[in-house]
Amino acid sequence: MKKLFALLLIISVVFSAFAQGGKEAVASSKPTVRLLTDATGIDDDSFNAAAWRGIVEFYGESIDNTPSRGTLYDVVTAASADMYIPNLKNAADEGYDLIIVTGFTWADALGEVAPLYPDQNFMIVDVNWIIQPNVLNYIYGEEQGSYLVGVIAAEQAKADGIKNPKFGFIGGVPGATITKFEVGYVMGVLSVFPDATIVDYYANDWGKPELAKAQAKNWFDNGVYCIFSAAGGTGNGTIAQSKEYRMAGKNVWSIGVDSDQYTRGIYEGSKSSVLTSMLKLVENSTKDALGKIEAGTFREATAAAIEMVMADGGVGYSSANSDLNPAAKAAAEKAKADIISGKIVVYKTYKEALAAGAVPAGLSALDD
Amino acid sequence: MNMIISSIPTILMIVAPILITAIGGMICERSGVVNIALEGLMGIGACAAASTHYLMEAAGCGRYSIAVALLVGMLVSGLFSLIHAVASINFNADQTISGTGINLLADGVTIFASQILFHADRTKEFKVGMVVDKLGLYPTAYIALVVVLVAWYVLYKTPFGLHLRACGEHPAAAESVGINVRRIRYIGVGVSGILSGLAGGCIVLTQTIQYTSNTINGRGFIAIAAVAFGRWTPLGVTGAAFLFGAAQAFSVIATNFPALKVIPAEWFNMLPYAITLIALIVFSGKDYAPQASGKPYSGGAS
Repeated sequence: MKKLFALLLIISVVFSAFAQGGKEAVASSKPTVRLLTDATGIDDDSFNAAAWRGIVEFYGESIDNTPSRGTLYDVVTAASADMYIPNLKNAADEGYDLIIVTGFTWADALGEVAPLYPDQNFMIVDVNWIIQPNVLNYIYGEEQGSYLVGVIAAEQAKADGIKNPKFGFIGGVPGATITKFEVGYVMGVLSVFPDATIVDYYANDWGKPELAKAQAKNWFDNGVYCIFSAAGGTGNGTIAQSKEYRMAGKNVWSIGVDSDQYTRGIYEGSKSSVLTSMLKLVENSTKDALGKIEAGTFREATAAAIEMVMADGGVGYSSANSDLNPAAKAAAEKAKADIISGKIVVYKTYKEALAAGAVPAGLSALDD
Repeated sequence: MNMIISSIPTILMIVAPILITAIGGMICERSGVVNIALEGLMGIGACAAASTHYLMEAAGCGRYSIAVALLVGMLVSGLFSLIHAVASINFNADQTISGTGINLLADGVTIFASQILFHADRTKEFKVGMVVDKLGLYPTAYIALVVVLVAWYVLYKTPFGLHLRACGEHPAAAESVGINVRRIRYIGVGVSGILSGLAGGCIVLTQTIQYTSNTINGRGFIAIAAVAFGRWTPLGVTGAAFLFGAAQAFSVIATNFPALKVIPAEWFNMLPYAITLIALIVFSGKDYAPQASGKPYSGGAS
């Protein structure tokens, strides 16, 4: 029996090696690209999904209809972090015009592999320190989009006539990237209610919805009106709890992150407990990089990280929820214009924001 | 104080699936088969329940879909557990290896099934999971209570329970008085599969909105620890599951007290696991495990 198990194991390993498939050479003017993702894959409704959407749309196709997959573009998911370097090297050996990795977890692997393949073009999102002639870095102004959803949460509370509303923030693993979300959100809320109570919580995990759900219930019970989660899969717990409470007639909201999570919050007809979402349009950077490859200007752009801020359409908010108060939307539009014009400056780090008196002391945000 | 009372439903939400799984694992071990596949079986059940619930909700028959989803989860997971039964009972395979195999297989199978059903690495998000009653409790709390009571009654108050316990302590003696050891062990493994599937369904329907590859997130292994720490008795296992659940709920609630903010958050996150480990050490000593648990029985000892 054990031998049989071993045999099955060997067979499945051998077949999984074939499963990635070979890229067929095609005579085409379109660039070829491979997306490498972490274990969550391209169905995460988050930045991997957005990166993939950008690639697919660049070739004029759609997520549900990908005829050029396997010839012009493909995706390989790394089951664990020790596969990052092998996956990068494999892709480089196969010779794509562009190799895309998403997320700062890839930074070390890319920093090691990129110099070994000086002719291979790479791109990475959420990182600005792999400055090499063959690597294009993209970073996002998440704090600006988060400011807008903070304004929306507060204006919605105002329109609903809530007295002394409290606002919550749930983060995944604390660090500089998530701090941008929290600082922006808190500043947005405080721009409307300067004395509002802010509570925050870090689950220290991207995949534990039960923790977010427990905390969301606890906060909602204690008068919190709206919770913004920037916590990956953990944030599903916040959405689940806000759904339950809205169904039970409580006026509470959650706010989605990265992609538009309006549909995740739907509990009845078109009613959703996700008031709005902070949109981070990673698809714009994959499209942008592929455009640069096609135009032959990729190498000219690699001297510094490209920052996708609100003015570039890199971040924004969703207005899919019909319960979104017009006044809240108008306020968000005004804040958006002010951010683009530079009238409102949103801080990226807790330290800066604290020094400027823009956020209260005692939050759990970390700057490193 | 108010915060402690209002956290009771949260504790029960976290405890119920762990307790249900642990009771299943306990019954399995009392019959003489170690089942470390609980984690994988929970995943199978969670995936099946989430898929069923989503599809039924989309088809417009949401009213009964929670119950049907749980039943489907139990059924699929129960069938899946038979792999472990065949390997460890018929083929006398190493039970740890077989269990590990199922844990690894479950990850792949659930993702594969999601790919077929939803063209994604996870199930589609359903609209409404379980809802709370007037006391703020989910039905899972009552399900867990029923499971514990039935398990206690069957194990200690029925002839079948005696037979099952005998198979875990001394299968040769049991067989000599006419008990069919293999049949009993099959039932033990099957029950643990069914209860794991039920618990997986409970997790996905009370704590989140879809099944993903990390929905279970180690809770099957916590259940295994609860079995040992609870000394293979229904009451002990219940206490162990509650201790763990309360520790996890506390790790969330503690962050709301300014006085406790001086302690790094990691300490609170570590708490449930640290308590489990410490309890295992403190309460160890005499070997309470069923004597023949984990040992293959080839039967017909002459």
